[in-house]
Amino acid sequence: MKIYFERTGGFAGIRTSASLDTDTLPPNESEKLHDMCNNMNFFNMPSKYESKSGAADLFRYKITIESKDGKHTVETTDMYMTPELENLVSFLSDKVLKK
Amino acid sequence: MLGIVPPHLLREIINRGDAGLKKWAINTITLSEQVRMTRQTFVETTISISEQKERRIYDAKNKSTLPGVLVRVEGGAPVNDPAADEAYDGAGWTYDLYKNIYGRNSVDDKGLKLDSSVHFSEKYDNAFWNGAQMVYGDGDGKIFNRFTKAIDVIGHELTHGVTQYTAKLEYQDQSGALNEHISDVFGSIVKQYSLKQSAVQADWLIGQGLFTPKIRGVALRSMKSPGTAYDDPLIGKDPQPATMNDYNDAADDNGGVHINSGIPNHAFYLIATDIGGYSWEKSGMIWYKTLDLLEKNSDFEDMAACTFEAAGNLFGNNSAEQESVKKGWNGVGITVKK
Repeated sequence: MKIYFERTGGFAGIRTSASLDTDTLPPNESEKLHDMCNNMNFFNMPSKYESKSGAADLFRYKITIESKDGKHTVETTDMYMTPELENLVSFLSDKVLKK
Repeated sequence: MLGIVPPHLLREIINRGDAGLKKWAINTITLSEQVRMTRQTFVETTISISEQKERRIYDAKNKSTLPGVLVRVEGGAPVNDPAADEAYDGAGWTYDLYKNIYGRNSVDDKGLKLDSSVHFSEKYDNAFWNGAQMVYGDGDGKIFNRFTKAIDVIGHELTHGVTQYTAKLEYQDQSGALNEHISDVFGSIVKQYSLKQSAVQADWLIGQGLFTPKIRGVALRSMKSPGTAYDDPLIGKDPQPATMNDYNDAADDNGGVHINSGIPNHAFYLIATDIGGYSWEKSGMIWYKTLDLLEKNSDFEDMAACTFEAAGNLFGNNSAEQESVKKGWNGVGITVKK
């Protein structure tokens, strides 16, 4: 399973991104990612959550996952998150920081 | 009951129901719409007004549910949490600037209470305006410190509220860059006002002190010299243009709203230093009055024309101030069209 993560916008407007391949990750992390994606039913999530008007400086997140089940992209902001999506975003943001 | 109660009714319950019902409705709506409605319902449920400055500071306790726990109210003593106390003080300076200098009673001019949540989420490298309140992260500690550390960030976020109630600039492309620009202008003015600095003495930096010492950079943006705020191996170089020659056609970030804002930002710097004195007086007043002349899709040329018009209304046509406005926009490659 391949994951592409991109965060844009925010007060700073600094773009960050990460690409992960679960085949090359430590087994515990690979398993965690597979579980997260399965639990949130990622491939059936809406591809875009619109941000509320009036809001500003929100982070925009774009997550693309490619696996044997296909390829799907979800775009969202800080204001439109499911708890599961938030876990995934936080895991991927940590990966960006450790790069 | 899930799926039986229609969403509009759930929203009614969230707005009017007692605490127990409200919680149930929020949970239900969350399950059925797969989004965390608590973040948006706050916008609809807790807006309240006041005759004078009324600040409320909440601690989100490193969760991302807003607003969090109330930790300080208007007139309350400092709570020994730098983030909470900075959010309180910064919102106070911002309210005072708008009230004392521009005669505006809070972001909506109707005394909207100023709500801020600090410690939002974990290692959160951002601050934002959600349409009803300010939200601040602690930073990851590696790149960013806490976002309340710079008072101009607080003025910036609150000003997004002012724009929301006035010019309503759409957060996309040039109108979005103007929305960002207006927040940077009044953010910087709040800092200058709190330090009693003249336009010439000011540093014109946005987010000074937000980077940790590990990052090579003085701030996030520079209105005096866009593109020079940082240059670091980890986060790259400040991408802001200073003039139309370097306009960036980015698709990211709602069409580069935090990038191309460098152009009007630099124009404001040129105008404020040319007019001289305290920037919140003449230059700030021109920009404040411009908010009523803009439309939601206004672009940079419209902004230049509207500031020229506002300067004429305030100081007379062909006044020195109006000439400074024209000259400043010329300096970034924008001709004022009358």
